[in-house]
Amino acid sequence: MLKFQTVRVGSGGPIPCVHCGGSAEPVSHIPAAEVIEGIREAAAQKDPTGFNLILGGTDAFGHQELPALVNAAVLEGVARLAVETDGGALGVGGNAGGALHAGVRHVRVTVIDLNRAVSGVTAWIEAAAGVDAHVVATAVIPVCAHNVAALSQSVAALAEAGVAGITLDATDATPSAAVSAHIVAACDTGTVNGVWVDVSGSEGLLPASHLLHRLEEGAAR
Amino acid sequence: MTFDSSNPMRTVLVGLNSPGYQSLALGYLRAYAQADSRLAGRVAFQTLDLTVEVDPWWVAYRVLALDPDLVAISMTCWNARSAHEFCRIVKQARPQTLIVMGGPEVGPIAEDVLRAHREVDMVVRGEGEQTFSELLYAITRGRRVEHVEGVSARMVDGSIVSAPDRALIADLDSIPSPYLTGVMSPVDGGAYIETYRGCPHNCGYCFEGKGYARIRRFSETRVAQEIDLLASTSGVHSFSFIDPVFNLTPERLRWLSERLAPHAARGMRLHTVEVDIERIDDEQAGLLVAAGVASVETGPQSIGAAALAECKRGFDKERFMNGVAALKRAGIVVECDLIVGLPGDTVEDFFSGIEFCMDLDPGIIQTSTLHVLPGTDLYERAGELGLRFDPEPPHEIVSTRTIGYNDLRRAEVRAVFLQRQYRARI
Ligand code: SF4
Repeated sequence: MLKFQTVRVGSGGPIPCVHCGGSAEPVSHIPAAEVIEGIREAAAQKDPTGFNLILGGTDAFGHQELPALVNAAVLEGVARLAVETDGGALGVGGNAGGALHAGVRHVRVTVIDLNRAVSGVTAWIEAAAGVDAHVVATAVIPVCAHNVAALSQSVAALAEAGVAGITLDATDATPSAAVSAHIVAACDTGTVNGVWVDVSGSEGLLPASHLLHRLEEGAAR
Repeated sequence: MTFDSSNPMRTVLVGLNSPGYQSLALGYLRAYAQADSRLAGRVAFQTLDLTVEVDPWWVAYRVLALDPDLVAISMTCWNARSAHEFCRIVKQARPQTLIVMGGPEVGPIAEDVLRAHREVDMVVRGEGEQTFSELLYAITRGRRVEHVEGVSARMVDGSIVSAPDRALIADLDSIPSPYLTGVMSPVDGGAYIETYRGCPHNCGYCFEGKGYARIRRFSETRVAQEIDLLASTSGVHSFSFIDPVFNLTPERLRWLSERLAPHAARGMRLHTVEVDIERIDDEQAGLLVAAGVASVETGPQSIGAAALAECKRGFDKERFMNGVAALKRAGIVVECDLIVGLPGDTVEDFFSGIEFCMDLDPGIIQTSTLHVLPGTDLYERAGELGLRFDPEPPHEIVSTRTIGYNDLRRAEVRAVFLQRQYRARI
C-alpha cells in the first residue's frame, strides 16, 4: 500500500500520558537546511505511487521554517505531503488553511489530549471544505493503562471530527484480556463509524476475529 | 376504460436518478411512444426527472399533482427502495392509477416483484421501448395487457400472468433519439449518448453482457447527429457515452475520435468513458485525447484467479499495466475499479488488487461492494457459489464462502480509507 518516508524536523515533545509518568523530552528542531537535504534524499527514493513524505519527529508546526520545508518538498515533486502534529497548532490562526494552501494534504495527529486532537482535525477538515483538494486526517493514539478503557469513545470522537484512519499504538500497553477487549471494541467502533482502525505493537492483543486490524508492516500513518 | 383525444391517458414517467443526471431510459421510452401514431392524441406524456435523494413522499406529491392515469418508473437497484415507497403512497392516494415498472431491477424477476409489491400493476421485462408502446396501446384501447409480449401483469382476480418474452429490437435506429426529437434537453455533464447495446464481455455480476448478449449498433449517422447536437447545445461543456466499452473496435474508436475531435478542439470534454484497457496502446490513447476524453474507467475488479474465473473475466496483468501506462503518458486520468465480495476472492486477494492498482498510480482507485443483481449469472448461481446477499435492493453481498460478514464490512471500511489516502495528493 502507500508508503510514506519520514523526514524528521526535530524531536521531543510532551509525554503521551501524565499518569504513566516519565519526563518529557525537550523539543529541539533540526536546522532547515539539514531537513531540506533529507527531503532531497527522500525524493530520490520514490514509491511507485510517487514521492510520499511525512515531516515528523515532533510537532512539525513547531518548526519556525515549516513553510520553507513544505516548499522544498513541493519543489522536489512530493505527491502526498503529511505533517505530524498533536492537533493544537491546526486550530490556531490560519495554520490549517496555510498548510493546505502550501501543499500539505495529510495531517497525522498524535492524540496526547483528545480535545486538542479533535479541534485540530475539525479545523483541518473545515479548511479543506473551502478548497478543491482531497485531504486526509489520520490519528495515532498511544495506548496505555490510563486511556485504554476510553479508546472507543476516543475513536468515536475522532470519527465525528472527520479522521479517515486511526492507529492504536499498543507498544507500551500491558497485554491482558481487558486491554484486548477494549482494543477490539475500539476497532469495531471505528468500523461502524466508517473509520479504519489498525493496531500496532499488538502481538497477541488482537483475537483471530480481528486480525485484519493488525497494522500492515511498513505502513506509515 | 378507454382513452381518446378528449380524454388522453395522463402518463407520467418518473426517473429517480443520481444527482445531475437524466434518465436516458425514460427518454427512449417516451420518444418511441410519441412516435407511435396509434397513441397520438390518446396519451399525454410528462416526465419527472428527479433524484434518488428526493424523499419518496415528495416524489409522490409531485406525481399526484399531475393526476396520472399511469405512472411508469425506470427501476435500478439504487432507486428501487425509494421507488417502491413512492408508488405505495401513490396507489393509496389514487388507487385507479396504474403503476408500471421496468428496468434491470425488476424485469428479470417480474413475477416476484408483482407478488411482493401489491401496488405494482405491470412489469415491462427486457428492452422496454416497443413493449411499453404496445402496452400503452393495449390500455388505451381496453385490450388485454397480459397478451402484450414482454409484459407481466396482475389480473383482477389477483393472479399474475406473464406474456412471452419480446425479441430484441433489431434496428436500433427505429428508436427515435430523445435528443434529436427534443424529448430530452441535454444538461451539462449529465447527458449520455449510447452508440450500441450489448457487451462483448460476459461478467458474472453484470446484466449487460447477459441481458443483451448480441451487440446491436445505432447507425453512425444517428450517433454523429447526437454528438453534434449535444456539443452545440449552449451551456453543455461535457457529456459522456454510456457504452460498456468505448474502444469496442479500433475502427469504431477512430471514427468516434474523428467525429468528436472538432468539438474537443473547441473545449468540449467527455467525462469518464469505460474502456477495455488491455487493448489500449499509445495510438488508442492518442485517439481518446483527440476525442476530448479526460478520464476513463476500467477494471480490473479483481486480480484473484478464482474470482476472475467465477466471473468469467479475463485479466492479462502485463497488458493491463501497459494500458494504464499508455493512458498516463497521454495525460488521461484512469479510474481503476475493484469489487469486494466476488466469489472466490479472499480479503487478501481484494487488498492485493488495491495494491496492484496503487502501484500503477492510475489517478483514481474506486472500490465497491458486490451487488448480486437480478438477471445476472451470479444471481442465478448464488446458491451454488455460496453467495449470501440481501434479497432487497440494492442486493448487497452479505457473505461469501471465502469472506464472512464482519470481514466484508471491515474490508469495505479499510478500502475507503486507502482510497482517501491515495487520492489526497497535490
Ligand atoms: S461489467 Fe462491463 S465489460 Fe463486463 S459485461 Fe458488464 S458492461 Fe460488459
